[in-house]
Amino acid sequence: MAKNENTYNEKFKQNQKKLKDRAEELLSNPPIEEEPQSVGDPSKVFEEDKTEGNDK
Amino acid sequence: MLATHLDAERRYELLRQESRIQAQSILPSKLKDSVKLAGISQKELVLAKLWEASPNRQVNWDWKFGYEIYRKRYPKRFELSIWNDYFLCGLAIGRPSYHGSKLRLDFAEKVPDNCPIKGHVMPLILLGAESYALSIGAEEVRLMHPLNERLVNYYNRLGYKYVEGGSEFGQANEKNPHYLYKKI
Repeated sequence: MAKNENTYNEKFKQNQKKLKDRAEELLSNPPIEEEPQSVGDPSKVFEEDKTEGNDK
Repeated sequence: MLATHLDAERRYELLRQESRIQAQSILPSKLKDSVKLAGISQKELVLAKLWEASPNRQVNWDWKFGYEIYRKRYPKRFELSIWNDYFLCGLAIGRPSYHGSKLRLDFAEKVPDNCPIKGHVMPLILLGAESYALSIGAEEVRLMHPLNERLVNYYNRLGYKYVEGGSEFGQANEKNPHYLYKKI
């Protein structure tokens, strides 16, 4: 149980570090004027995901 | 609703909440006090309905109708709303791939008018998506079907790489979609 908790805490800390660096990249100086109104194609939101083949 | 579906909904709701808390906790000080990352509820859907009346809106997507179907169909989904104080600034939905190694962002939109955090909504959505991807153990985030080259250039600047699905934007299809991706 304690080992699981440690593993969880370590993972949490690792993720926190990654995210912190990423937040700095994304938010410190974003391209303000170029920000788009949306991303993605509304007509394809429900498409079946057939990309998982890339995992194999 | 099947018990397995309900179970997945509950388990992944916890992961959604946890990932939002994690992303919220590392926001830079200029945004930390005013910006809130939340899920999608009736409150957000009612406000998003108002976006439809804006002459500046560039997309045709009914958040209330679309989200309700999406929520029922994908219990492991990613969902995010971006608030600045009491102003709804953006919404996003996505889902993990079949084996869970990738998180695809299917659609995200920012408020069409007078956004108080202009320039920061899409980066916040990416941060939220990447946080959720880490929470579920995915290794990659994909932004599906960028509609034009301008979008590709914008997301390139935020660290995403483009993969062509067809020879032109309009020629990509379900079996061969085009997208941007980032390893996380």
